[in-house]
Amino acid sequence: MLVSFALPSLLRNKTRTGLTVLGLAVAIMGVVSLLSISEGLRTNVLSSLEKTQLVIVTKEDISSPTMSSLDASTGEEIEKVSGVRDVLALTIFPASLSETSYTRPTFVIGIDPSEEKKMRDPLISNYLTSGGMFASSSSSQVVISKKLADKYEKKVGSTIELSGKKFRIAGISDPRVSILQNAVIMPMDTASALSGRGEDAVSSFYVEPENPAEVDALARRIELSVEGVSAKSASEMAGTVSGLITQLDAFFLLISSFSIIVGGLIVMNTMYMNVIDRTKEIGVLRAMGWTKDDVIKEMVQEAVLIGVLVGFTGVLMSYLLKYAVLNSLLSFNTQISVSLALFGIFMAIIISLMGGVYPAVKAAGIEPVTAIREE
Amino acid sequence: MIALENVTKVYKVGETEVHALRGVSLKVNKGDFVFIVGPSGSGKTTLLEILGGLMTPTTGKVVIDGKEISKFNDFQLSMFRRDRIGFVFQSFNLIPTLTALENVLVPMIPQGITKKLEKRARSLLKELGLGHRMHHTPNQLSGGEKQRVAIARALINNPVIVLADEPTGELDSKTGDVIMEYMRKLNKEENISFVIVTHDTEYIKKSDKVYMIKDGKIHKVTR
Repeated sequence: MLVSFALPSLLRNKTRTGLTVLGLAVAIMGVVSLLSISEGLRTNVLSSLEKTQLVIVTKEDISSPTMSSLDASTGEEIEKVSGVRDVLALTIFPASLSETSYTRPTFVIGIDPSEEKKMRDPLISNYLTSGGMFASSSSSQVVISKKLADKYEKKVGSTIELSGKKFRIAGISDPRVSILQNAVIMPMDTASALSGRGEDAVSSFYVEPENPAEVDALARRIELSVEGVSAKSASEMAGTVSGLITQLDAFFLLISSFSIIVGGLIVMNTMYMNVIDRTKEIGVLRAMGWTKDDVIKEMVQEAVLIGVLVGFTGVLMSYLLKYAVLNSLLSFNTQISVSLALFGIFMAIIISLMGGVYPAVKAAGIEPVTAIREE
Repeated sequence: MIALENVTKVYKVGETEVHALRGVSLKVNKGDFVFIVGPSGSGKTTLLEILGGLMTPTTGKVVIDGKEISKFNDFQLSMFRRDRIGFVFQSFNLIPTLTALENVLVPMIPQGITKKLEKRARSLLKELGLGHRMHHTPNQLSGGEKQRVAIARALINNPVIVLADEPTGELDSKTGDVIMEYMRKLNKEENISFVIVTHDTEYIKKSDKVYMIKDGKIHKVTR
């Protein structure tokens, strides 16, 4: 039944309406796509961190395990803290992975395999997909992450060259801790020799609590008992990263707000032109008893309808962009959740409404005598 | 039931004042079929606008159906038009994207279209000989058909008076006669008052209630 003629009114000038919808839909696509990047980051990075019940100990005020540097003896101090089950020292440094045709940067992580094995949930050996761990004394064997193995098409038994030195791959592991997921793992001594750092220098410690439920409390205790360190549980670490991604969100929104403003002005222009073109018609409606509010209501319905069309078009375009471009361009998959899609549609409606306010007020100002006078 | 008492209307065009109406008094009784004639610029459109509550007079009283509308504000006037007045325009003013039936219902959209209203719209269109054209859009209708849709639209709210501004102005004389006949028929059968602004002398000859307006003053034409 006839409740409004918003749709027929918009269909009257299909090209004008179509171009407007497209214009604002591109802006919505921009917003949704940018936010899908941070949403993808959040899922990909945080999921690996949050699953582990570990405390990560770094040098005070340095939250990244790769940037931190600590003395190996710190490990003994950490072990003394009550509630600590195991401490695994890691030395982390960048190295170049050379193939015959190219050289790529990667991370090398040194650990003591006998210490690693003592853990309740050994970070690497528990997640071997093929092969085995290297021996503590070995100076030529490594374990590489599944991601690297897939990327460089490596198998157990093949060799890789790191900073000019050749290593044999003893095993391939798919660990849950994100920092290990893109690394070559080798014995601590070998790693120290390769990096040229002293044997007493390590980057960080991964601490396993006796009671996994107490991981945050343990982190606090370590910070209090051991001098010069920062201790964070994996979930706290995730919080820090999450905070960074939230800032990224804000930045993305700032960038996209410009295109959103342009989109809103496009809607305003279209609605305004519609009102001008329909001056006579609106005058007739007023003559037939429509109040000013009735006219405003009609215009608002048209704006909302544009918003709905824009929202669905924009979100659809975001999905197309994700599968056609973003997923192959970025090393992780972007993510458009239901709430992000709804946010896009909601925003389209709000912007259309805002763009429709001035034209609606303009329309309500049309005098009923226009019905008879203006030809 | 419609009474204008000493109505004046003054427009300001820049610095100069234009006296469109200079003391017009007029009575239209229920069931009257009244013509108003006059040269262009005589004030007849202004008179129609004041009768229809499209504007209020500068001075004087307008009483329609017992209500003094000369003091109404914009909202009250809208409500008054919605409930009591029907308009028929020279150039039909139908909405091009809506069907004949939908066009008849347009004035009632703000109140909500009920089944009863839709039934009334259908029977009005049938009465005006458009039973087979209900789902046609204006560009599929002839001029005469469009004006009959417009008449149905003017009647949808059960008005006490229908005001028509040159309703045959854009039609050939034969079609114009048909339109005028329909209005006469509705006037007789439903006892609806009509006030018609026209310059077609053929219709005036047949009518006994003709007013002439000239220079903002009104006279009853006596023959």
